[in-house]
Amino acid sequence: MLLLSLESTFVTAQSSIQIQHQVKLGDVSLSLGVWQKSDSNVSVRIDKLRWYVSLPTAEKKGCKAWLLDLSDSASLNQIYMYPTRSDRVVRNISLLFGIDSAIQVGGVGTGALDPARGMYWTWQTGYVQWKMEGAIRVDGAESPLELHLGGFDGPANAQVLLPKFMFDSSVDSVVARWNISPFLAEVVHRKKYGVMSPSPIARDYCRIIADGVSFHK
Amino acid sequence: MSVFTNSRFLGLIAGVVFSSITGCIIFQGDANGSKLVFSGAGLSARSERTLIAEGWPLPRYDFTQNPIDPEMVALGRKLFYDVRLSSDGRVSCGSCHSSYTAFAHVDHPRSHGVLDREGRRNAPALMNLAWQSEFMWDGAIKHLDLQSLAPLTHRTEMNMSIDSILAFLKNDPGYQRAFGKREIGIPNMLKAFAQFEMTLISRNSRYDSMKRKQVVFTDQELRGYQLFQKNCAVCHSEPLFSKPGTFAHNGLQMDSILRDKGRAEISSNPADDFLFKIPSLRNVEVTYPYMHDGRMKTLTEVVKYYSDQTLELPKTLGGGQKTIRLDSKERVDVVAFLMTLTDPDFLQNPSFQEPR
Repeated sequence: MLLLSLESTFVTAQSSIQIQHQVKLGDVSLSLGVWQKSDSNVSVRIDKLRWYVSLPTAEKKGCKAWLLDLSDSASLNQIYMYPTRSDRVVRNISLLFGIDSAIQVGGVGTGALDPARGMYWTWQTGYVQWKMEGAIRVDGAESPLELHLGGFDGPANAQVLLPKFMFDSSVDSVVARWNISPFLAEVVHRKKYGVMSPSPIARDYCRIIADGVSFHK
Repeated sequence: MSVFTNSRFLGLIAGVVFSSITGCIIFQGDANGSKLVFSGAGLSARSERTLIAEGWPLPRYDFTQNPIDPEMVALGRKLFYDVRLSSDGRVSCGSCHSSYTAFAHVDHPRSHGVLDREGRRNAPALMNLAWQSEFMWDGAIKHLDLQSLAPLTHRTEMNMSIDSILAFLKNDPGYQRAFGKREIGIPNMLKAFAQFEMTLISRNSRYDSMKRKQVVFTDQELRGYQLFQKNCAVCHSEPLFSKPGTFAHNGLQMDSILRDKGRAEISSNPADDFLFKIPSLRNVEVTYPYMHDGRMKTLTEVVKYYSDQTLELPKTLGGGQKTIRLDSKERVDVVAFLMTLTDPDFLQNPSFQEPR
């Protein structure tokens, strides 16, 4: 109780920081609708890429999730609110790739979570947390690429806590870089170009996507 | 405040009566003091006390997220019976969930949706849904608000897209009126479905009257009740006669054509092979045919099947095995008891029927 009281004494305000999300193939920005190399023998053409980030349960002040859409540049600029504490100069960003389980089973969502956004699995509870559609060429052989990844329950739990990013009060914007080259390399390795439901493969893919995320000032 | 009651009044008061003075909606009157009342937020404190006294658990539904509202219930009822929410304009929720048979699809092992496409599972009865946390035979849906999306968009059921539903609702004058000041959108549509479905409460069967000491079971019904408690109640527990959140394998072999693996199809977990939701037995007399794929036509057939079974109980029910042995006379007694679970008030409630 004493600790709680002390802690509350230090919370003075809510501040915000802008997170700009970028999707990369190595050092190159991913563009929709064009063929781009992701490896020496692999090219991809991504036509659609939408994904969710949300606040982890411990950080959550109400239901908060962001739907990021590569075709909508405004959606890639996320305003992240965090508590400013008088006793600390270092702050951190804590984000979940996917949607927290409590939200998933908490009933119908609105805004970014409105099922009309096309990211909800209607035949079972749960949101697609990574929807990537397009095509892939491996050694010249072309295949459709359709990866609807997600899942929050049991062995198919695909939520991943992104690495925390520490920053000081002089920083008012950061870049979240999503390098999907390692992920695409895994997709090629597994030869699994179509995933449409929660599964261990979807979970593995999501973990590799999250491994490719880094924050930069 | 909006108030709903679901109880009996000797058939004198039936249907929706709106009181502009009290702001109450009454689904059915009450002559025996066993009111079940929804307040604006959910179950009233009095209803909670009544239910608890009768051994009911508290509802699983979080009413604070979707407070009961008579306009939303009416909207949900309109949506439930609207065939225009299907791709061929011929199928509504009510097509496979008839109010007269506890919202099951009587005499259909598996229901036919748009273009006479046939599904893989028997349409389950709908009642007491606020007490459930998982829906569909495999528990794929984990919240009542979101359940209706599944049949609306499934290609063998109503075969609509979310976008086409939204466009239809926004352009239809009837729905423009029915939504009132609320935004015409998928979230409000889903909440309306859920509100109507939450009013489908069945708790006025002969069994319920016996529990309230208003009637006395016959000797045969009593014998059947005792046999039921001994052999069946571990899964079909009173007073809901189900086990919300629990899935079990009842020993049935997989249909070689349907190849339905049940919950494992959702969880990707082989341990969940052939597990299905334990359905409520309330109104079971009228919800034939039975089992997840409707393979059994009569209650007698079902009880006979179980009367010589050793079943593996799920861990959530303590694990181990349950052996059931019933002779022919005992089977008749059990069926006699099961028929006491029929709730005529529920089956004939005009408030649940297609709006005219």
